[in-house]
Amino acid sequence: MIKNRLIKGFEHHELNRARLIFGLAAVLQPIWYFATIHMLPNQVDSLNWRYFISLVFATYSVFLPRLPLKQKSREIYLAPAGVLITAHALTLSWLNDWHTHYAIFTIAVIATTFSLISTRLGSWLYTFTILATVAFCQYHWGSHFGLPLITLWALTIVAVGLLSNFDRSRALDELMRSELSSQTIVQNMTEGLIVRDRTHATVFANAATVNILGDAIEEIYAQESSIDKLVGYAPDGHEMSAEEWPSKIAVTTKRPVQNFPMEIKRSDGKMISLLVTAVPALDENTGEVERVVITFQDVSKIRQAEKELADNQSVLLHSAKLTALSEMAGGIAHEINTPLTTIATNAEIIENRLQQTPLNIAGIKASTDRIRKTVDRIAKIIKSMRALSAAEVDSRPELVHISEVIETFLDIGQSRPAQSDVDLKIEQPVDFELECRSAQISQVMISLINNAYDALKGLEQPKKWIRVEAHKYKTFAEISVHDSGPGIKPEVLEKIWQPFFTTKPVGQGQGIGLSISRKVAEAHGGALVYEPIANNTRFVLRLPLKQPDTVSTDAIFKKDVA
Amino acid sequence: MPSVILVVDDEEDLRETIAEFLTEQGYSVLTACDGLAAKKVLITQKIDLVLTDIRMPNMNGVDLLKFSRALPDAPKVIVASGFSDYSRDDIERLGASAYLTKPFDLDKLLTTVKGLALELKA
Repeated sequence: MIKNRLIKGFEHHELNRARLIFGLAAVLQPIWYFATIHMLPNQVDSLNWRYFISLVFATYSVFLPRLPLKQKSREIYLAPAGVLITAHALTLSWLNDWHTHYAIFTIAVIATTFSLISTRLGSWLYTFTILATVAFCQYHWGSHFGLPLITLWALTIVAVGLLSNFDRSRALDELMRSELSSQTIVQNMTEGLIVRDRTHATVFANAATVNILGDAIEEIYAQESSIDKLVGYAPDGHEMSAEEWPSKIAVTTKRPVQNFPMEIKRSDGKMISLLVTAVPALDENTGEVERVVITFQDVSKIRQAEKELADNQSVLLHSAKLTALSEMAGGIAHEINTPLTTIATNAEIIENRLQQTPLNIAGIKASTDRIRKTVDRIAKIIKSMRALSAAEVDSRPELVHISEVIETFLDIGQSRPAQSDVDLKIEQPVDFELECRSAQISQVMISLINNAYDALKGLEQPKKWIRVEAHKYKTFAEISVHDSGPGIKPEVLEKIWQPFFTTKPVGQGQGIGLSISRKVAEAHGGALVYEPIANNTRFVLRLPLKQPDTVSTDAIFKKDVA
Repeated sequence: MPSVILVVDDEEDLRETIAEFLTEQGYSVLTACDGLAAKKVLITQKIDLVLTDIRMPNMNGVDLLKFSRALPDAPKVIVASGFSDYSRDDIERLGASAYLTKPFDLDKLLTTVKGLALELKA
């Protein structure tokens, strides 16, 4: 893009300008000749010619460096031809007027030297030299020096053309560096931008590169760039060989490498995480890689945050489990203490009856039956508790009946102090098998039902209800918790999935229920969504019937739902 | 006229056991499976003592306690619970005559009930 603009720039502005000045000089030449030939002796005339034309081109050369950079680059192309001009001037001095040409020669040497050191000064001096030389050629036109001079001039132009082609890439690189360096956007963007040529020499690096990599710009631009000394690590943690770097891959494959995540060890030893994109720029004619443009983002902070979040998540999951357990503990204590009372009292009754004569066999039998029945109930409660406490994050999914899942969460979830006015209904038309970590799913359901109870608490409603429904579809199961509450306000809805968000009074909720529940659903390749019906709050848990071998994204599943 | 005791618990076996026992001890006993059922009984009948659980569906024991104590001819209330969010103090402040921790034995229950000086069957 820059290259195209550059070439257009020459063609339309620079060349026209040059043509204009050369044309002007050509027109002025006969006028000046006729004016001076009648007024001045020949010697003075020729000298004036020299000075005049030199002056015209010198003026041009003074103005040229002030032109925009991209137009000036033509002079950069011409720079290597300075050597030829030196030879040119030497020839002139040998043939003729040594003293005058000695000055030209000196200027040419200086110009060539400077053009190699400083583009700006070099191009200024060089322009002066080459144009002054053209003036000499014009002066000698028609004399016996004419032919060799014209030949040299033509050769110069050819050589300049060839050399400029050879050096075009380097010149463009130079240009690109100065052009890009002066651009505010490039220098102020937070992403690092590096342009390297096909030999992996660094053509350009922006200010962000310096900030991110922590090396001085000189070190980056150095022949042995500090970039090449960086140690990179692939996402799997292995140290990348030079061939594996995105910039190298882009050059080798001639294809862009996008958002490649890698870790880099800076020269100061600090580890940073980057997202690197490397785009090869191909030469239009040859199709070869000319340079590669590398942009990169420092995502260390994001990665760090993600890591912390992941750490927190496991802590949260644990904490959620504890909350659920402590919520349950009360229920469990009650659930067990009550039947224990039944056992204790019946044991007492049996003892009393054993002392009676005649023995009240029927009475004793009734009590032993109650004891046996109650023991079974306790065993069942303990089984449910065990199912819940086994809710380890990495437990294996098992094939369970949806009825068992519902029973587990009802056994324990329902034992909270029930609200007198809430009607809890379970609708489960068909029992079906589902592959899941049932303890986790039960926890999600308990959390949803508890939320529903809490939402209904304090609502002025003639009939409050919570409906739990379980349905089986072709590839997934849908379990929903639907309550008579008025739905969730939009401003609250935005936040419900955030960890620690809660609308419950201080001390009642930890606000981790929904965020963790969603994680659990996602870990199952499913989803937990808020889908109100007729303005009533409704949460839907969708789970695939079969768990994939690896924990995958929910893409397939979502498609199915749609 | 023996005193009427209302036994409220969602655990059927326990409810029946206690009811049987108290009947044998000479009290007139009614039962209710939860707070709401108990409330209905309390509205229609004069009850001298309510023995209630706390955690129950459809109106818990604490709400029942509050309701009972607010009645014109308020019955005495014994609250029995295995675990609750309410402490003994909370329960007693709400007007309960006694608090029993489950599991309790019948002796303890009987002592508590007797302590309330209720009328027995003639």
